[in-house]
Amino acid sequence: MAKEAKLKCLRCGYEYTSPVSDNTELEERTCPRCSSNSVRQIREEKKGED
Amino acid sequence: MTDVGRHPRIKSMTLSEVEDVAGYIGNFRVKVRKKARYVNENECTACAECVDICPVIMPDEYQMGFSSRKAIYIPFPQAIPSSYVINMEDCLGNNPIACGKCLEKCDKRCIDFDMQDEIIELNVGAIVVATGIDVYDPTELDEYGYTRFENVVTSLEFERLICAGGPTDGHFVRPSDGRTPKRIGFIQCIGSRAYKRGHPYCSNVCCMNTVKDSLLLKEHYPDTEITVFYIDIRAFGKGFEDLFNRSKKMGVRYLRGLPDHIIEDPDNGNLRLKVENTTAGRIEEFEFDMLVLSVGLEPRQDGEQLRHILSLSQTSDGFLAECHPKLMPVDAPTRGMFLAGCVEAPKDIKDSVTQASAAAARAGIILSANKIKLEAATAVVDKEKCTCCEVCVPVCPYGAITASRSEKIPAEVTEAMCAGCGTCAAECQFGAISIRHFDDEQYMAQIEAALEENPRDKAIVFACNWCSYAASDLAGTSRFQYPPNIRVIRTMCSGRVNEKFILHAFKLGAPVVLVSGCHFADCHYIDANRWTQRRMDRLWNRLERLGIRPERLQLEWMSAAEGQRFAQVMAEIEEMRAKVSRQEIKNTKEVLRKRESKKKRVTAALGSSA
Repeated sequence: MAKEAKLKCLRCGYEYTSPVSDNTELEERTCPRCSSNSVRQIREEKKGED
Repeated sequence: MTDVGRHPRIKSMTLSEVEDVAGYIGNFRVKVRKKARYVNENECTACAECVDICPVIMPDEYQMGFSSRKAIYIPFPQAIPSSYVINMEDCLGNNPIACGKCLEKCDKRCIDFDMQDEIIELNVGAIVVATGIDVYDPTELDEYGYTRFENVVTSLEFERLICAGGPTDGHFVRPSDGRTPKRIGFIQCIGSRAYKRGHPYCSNVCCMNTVKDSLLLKEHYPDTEITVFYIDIRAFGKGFEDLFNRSKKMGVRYLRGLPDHIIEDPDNGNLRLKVENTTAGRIEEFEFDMLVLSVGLEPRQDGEQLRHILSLSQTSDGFLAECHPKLMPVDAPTRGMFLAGCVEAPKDIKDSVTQASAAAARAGIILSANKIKLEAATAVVDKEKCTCCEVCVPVCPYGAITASRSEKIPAEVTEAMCAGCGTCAAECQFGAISIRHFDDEQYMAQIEAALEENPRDKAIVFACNWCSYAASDLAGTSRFQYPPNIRVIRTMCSGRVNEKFILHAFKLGAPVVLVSGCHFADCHYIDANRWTQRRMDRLWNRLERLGIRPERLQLEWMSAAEGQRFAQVMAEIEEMRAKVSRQEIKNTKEVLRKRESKKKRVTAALGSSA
């Protein structure tokens, strides 16, 4: 089931939200501004994971 | 259908479902559930005496609910085998008080209420998947009033109403009052080319289906006024443009524009609508006796289950993906499996027959071969290192790996099923899996060689063999200029790029690393590049925790035809590389060396305590 996620382009720095599937992503992540695929999903709870 | 049913070398299994497929090319084991039909198909002569006496009346699905059937019935006249089936959800049952009339009536004793589902195991050499499609249900498009207004029907319902074998014997009447409609409207692209409700793709067949329907109407009822509302009429294909022109010559009006909503006149059941004629630039009003929604096609609702059973991949539209759109358009990514018809994409009868013929011929090649060549680069498991963690099992796109954590059975690779993508080797945290001819040591050596001199001036690019490496090749042969300090390392799939390759490159002073692979729809290993995406997400998080800017690790999907894009991306990578300072590289190296020494200490401590 796809849910809205915060994404950040690691090429141009653009941040946006888009539906992302928890299981298998069927669509490539593409930055709407620079068309790069270096798009990272920013998760809320990042600290203390390592 | 009859020819297939009678063919001595074709075994047709109706009312059956594939439950499991194991094995590999030339040696598939298929488990099929043959459902109980409660009528002995070998004895039944289709005399219809049971049908006449059956008291249950249900809507006939084949006739789209415009006529009825009994609980014991033949689904459609040409069905194979030509014998009855009992729908147990409709049947009153064998209890003599409830019913059981068919049982009494059948002199040949063909009816068996105790019949059970049967599990049949088959050994086959090749599999052709031809499971077809579903039709879009326009109920959600409330503005068109389907199910609210009786005289709004779908194109499939229209087919039944005008068919000589249909519920009205081909006398075309509208459902509300049984009158022959004089003014008929067709609305195109229902559920197709729609981004919010429906599907974004073109369903391929609807335009020509409407052209054919309009000609049928004009031939049978020349005085009928027909208007077709469309976005574009797509009449490509042999003879299709001629048909379209013939339809126009016969008086069918084609109006570019789709109505926003439909209103029903409660007195006579007529339908009114307003539409913007986008060619003339004006609003027009219409009244019709009947409206036909030209519904699009969509993947089968139960297709996902079959896709998992067969280890196949799908494109973003939900249809099954072919192995290669140009070079292997009928082969499925799993060797020994082929696709035919709309299961791969919406297509008309001619294209479906063409693809089915090709699939049969491709399957025939396998069946007639004595030996089959296998992939040389396959995964090998070092059972000493394997911890039976099972991580490699779900990542294999071909289901080629088996392991059991509970029974402590180490991973085992069925080589005939392995295509050598290397995703398992990249995901294994214990280095227990290697790929023949593409092992970790070879990649590490390539990285070390690339960064041996002036590592700060280099950018490492991992490129998959089929797409992005081919794109780099195309960029070269096309003489597209791109920075010379890019070092391309070829992997069979982006899924092969292990986290440790990337960290090793950073540890040796690489300012930027790019991982590139095929576009999702083009992945040559079903869905291996989806694992690349997940791994990159994981690695970006890890880099951030280590204090390394995630931006230094880049990802790009490229096709073999995107040579220019490859050159452009390399220029962008070079721009990023130049911005990475010496100090940043030094810090990265230090962090990674410390991490490595810590890891070594922990491993040594664990080893001594054991």
